Amino acid sequence: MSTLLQVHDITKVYPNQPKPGLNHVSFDVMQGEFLGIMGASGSGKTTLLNVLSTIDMPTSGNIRMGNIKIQELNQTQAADFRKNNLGFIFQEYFLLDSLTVQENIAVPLTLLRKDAREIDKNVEELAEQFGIASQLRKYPSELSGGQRQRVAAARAMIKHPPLIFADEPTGALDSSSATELLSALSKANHALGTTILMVTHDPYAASYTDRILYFKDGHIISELKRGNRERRSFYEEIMREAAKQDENR
Amino acid sequence: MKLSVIALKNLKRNFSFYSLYLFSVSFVLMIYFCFTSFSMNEIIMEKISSDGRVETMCRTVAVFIMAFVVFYMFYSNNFFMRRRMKELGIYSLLGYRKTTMLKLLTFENIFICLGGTVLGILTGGILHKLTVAGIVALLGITIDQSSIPFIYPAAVKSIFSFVIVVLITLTFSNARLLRKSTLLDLVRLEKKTEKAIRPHFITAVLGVSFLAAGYGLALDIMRGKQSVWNTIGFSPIAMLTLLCVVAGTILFIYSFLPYACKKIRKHKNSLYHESTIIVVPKFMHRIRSNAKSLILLILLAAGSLAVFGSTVLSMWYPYQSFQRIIPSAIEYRVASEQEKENSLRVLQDALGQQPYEAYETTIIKAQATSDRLPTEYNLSEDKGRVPGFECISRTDYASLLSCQKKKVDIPDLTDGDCILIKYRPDHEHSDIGATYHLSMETETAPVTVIQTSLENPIGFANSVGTLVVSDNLYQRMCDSGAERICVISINGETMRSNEAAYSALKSVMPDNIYLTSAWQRESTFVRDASSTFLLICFATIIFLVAMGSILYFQNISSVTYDKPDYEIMQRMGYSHAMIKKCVRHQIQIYFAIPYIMGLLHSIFAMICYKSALMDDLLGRSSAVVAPILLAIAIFSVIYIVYYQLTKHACYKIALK
Ligand SMILES: Nc1ncnc2c1ncn2[C@@H]1O[C@H](COP(=O)(O)OP(=O)(O)O)[C@@H](O)[C@H]1O
Ligand SMILES: [Mg+2]
Repeated sequence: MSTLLQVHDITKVYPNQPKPGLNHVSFDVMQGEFLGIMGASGSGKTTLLNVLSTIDMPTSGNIRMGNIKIQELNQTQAADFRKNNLGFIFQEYFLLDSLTVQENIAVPLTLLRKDAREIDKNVEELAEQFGIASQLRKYPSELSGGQRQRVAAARAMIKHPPLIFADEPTGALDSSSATELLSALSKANHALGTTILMVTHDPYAASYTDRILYFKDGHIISELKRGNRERRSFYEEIMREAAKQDENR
Repeated sequence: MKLSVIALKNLKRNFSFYSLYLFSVSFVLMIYFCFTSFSMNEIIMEKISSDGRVETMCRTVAVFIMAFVVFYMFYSNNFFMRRRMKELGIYSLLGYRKTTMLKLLTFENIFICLGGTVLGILTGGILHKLTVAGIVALLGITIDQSSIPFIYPAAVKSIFSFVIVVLITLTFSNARLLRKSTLLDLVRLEKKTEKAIRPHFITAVLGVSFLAAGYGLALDIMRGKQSVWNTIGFSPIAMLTLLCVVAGTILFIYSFLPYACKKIRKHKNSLYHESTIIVVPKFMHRIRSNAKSLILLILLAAGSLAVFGSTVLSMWYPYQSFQRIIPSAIEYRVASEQEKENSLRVLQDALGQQPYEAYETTIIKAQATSDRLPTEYNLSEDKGRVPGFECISRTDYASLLSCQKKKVDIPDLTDGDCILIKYRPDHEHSDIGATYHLSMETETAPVTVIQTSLENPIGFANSVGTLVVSDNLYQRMCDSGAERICVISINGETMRSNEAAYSALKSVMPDNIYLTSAWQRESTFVRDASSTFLLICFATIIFLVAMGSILYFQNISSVTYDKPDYEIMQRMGYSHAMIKKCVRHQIQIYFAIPYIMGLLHSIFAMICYKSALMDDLLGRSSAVVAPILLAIAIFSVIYIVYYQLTKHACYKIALK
């Protein structure tokens, strides 16, 4: 497997904030990897995703994806980069309220100037997969939390981006909705080779990943690899790691 | 923790939002204060208003401004409340009672309204001073500007009592809103209030048909005698037209626009476009909460432009027709040879080297019988004119017209022919072919109209029923000893604007009521009309500025409200340029609807007004074009300025 993302020594300092949000962080992400990021709140996870996804600029360090030096993109190039390469799923659904579910999912393909019939076909297929086909004409405000999160996931995945960022995507979901979403992500990861970076608090969600980076005070403190293990045994190790980190607190 | 502490924290966090509210309130109050001060300003009123017309207009405009301020304060209060429902919900989750919350809201409102009033008084005072300075400069009147106080105590009293009344009503309306809403509502209302409109095809079509019917009726008035305005009656049709247009506007906004949006959303090829897919659903989503203000803006624009246009029209028309009413620069009757010589000598002294021509015409007054006597025969009978024709010879006619530098083809006349000069234009030429039997002492001479013309060579004051007859017949009439009127016409290159000539003549014949001068009439007219014109400009600009401000605040708050959406869009790969495009399109829709519809309404209203109420002496319907263009120009300039301001402010908010 080749390296998709190279993160080298990035630091993010917020103005008027004594502690840096990210403190000399380096790691690589492989092509097709499902990477989990865990850590207490305030440890810099969201900051990391923002910096990696060109939403925010690192104070120093560099990030490469293939030949692209992400921190050197200008505003328009960064927007194009996001448009062509990235998908986002957030804890707070972040759907456009005035658009129907169908339109919400169609926006990324619209941005890529796809043909109208192709867009409609893709939206329908994906909605079927995510079990929201009957909700397509509704507005986000008429959906339950789990349904909204699935819409957000469908929107992130519809353009088959090489890289998906998910920030606590299961945070607000009940366990069965969470499982559905995670298996959808997993499926995209396996079937399409989509690389996924997922921030999560939930050991269960984390057990779906291939590798977990633990963050504390803006830097990586440890790493867990799943290897060839079953999900269940990986889950147990994550639980043990959580207990260990609890003791060190 | 005390609620006031939490509220203060909240205020700090939402400072920009509160200041927007504060500024919008102070802005409308500024306009209100400026206007009240202006109408209380006796020094300037004395100068620009001779007959109380300006005062009446001020009072009328003041009522509208008050209504507008009330509407605006309610509008922004409601908007503000809706935005804060979540916050209020959190307060009530924390266990605060509704009465405590109402107290808090009222305190805030008092603070904002009083702050807005103080700001409004200060800025309004300055604006008033500037307005006065502008009027003084424009009209060239002299007044002691330092004797005009910066702040009128009476105006302050009036604005405070007004604001207090508004505050009390706002408190009641907030209390009602709070009492009505349950806890759940409070938490969810912020998003829930904007329930999408379900547009119906029938009402959409109905809206457009109403508009078309209204416009159709307005245009129908141009058919003159056959129009329904004439056959059915003016006031019922006027009411019907107004009703059609207002109902059409309401349905158009509430039904047609959402319907059109729905159609676009259904048509995927047009929807799937980076800005359309955002802008159209957003517009449709907001239409329910914005419809009232859009309708108000349209009617406000239409009303103020129509009033402006028709006022300008009612000044423009008489001004345009001076050329016809006063064909010669100076014209007067002389009763005796001596008076004539006196006047011409004085004129010669006054004018010296300046070139001029004096032409003497003798008009023969003649009675006639006919089955088709023209309206001009009996015109002004109530003012003491003896009915009859004023006959002049073809030679005099031609000479006078050439003195007046008018190029007209004059046909040759036999003794049985005549040319009839019309007072009002008659496009059907219904007098051609009529035969009048002019009575002379011993005989009657039949003459037949072979041409009608609007070009009276002699002012209508001296000759309304002008009839041009052949030189031969004229000579016979002269000999018959009929009543004669001797008229002197003065013409020359610069004579129409010559003050000295008129003054000199006036001094020798102070009592000659038939002495008319183009200079004198025009300058009196301009003096009288310019104050009305300025005031109407002032009022129109205030209304347009108020409109622009509503649009400004409305767009700013909706972009503020949508800010999270723009963040999501940026994550999805919308570049700054694309976001700007979306914002721009969104603003353009809001600006375009009142602009286009307001203008259309007012143009039809002006056409209607012109056909119905103007004394059209020119017979040129093109004269309506100038006022319309002026209205469009003023409207567009103010609009473009506001559009640019709004656009840049919104860009800043969306991309911050
Ligand atoms: N926009 C910001 N401005 C200033 N400080 C911030 C900002 N965003 C995050 N931080 C700070 O950076 C640190 C990391 O935050 P974040 O990445 O959001 O943590 P996490 O997502 O792991 O909970 C925190 O101490 C937080 O206070
Ligand atoms: Mg976070």
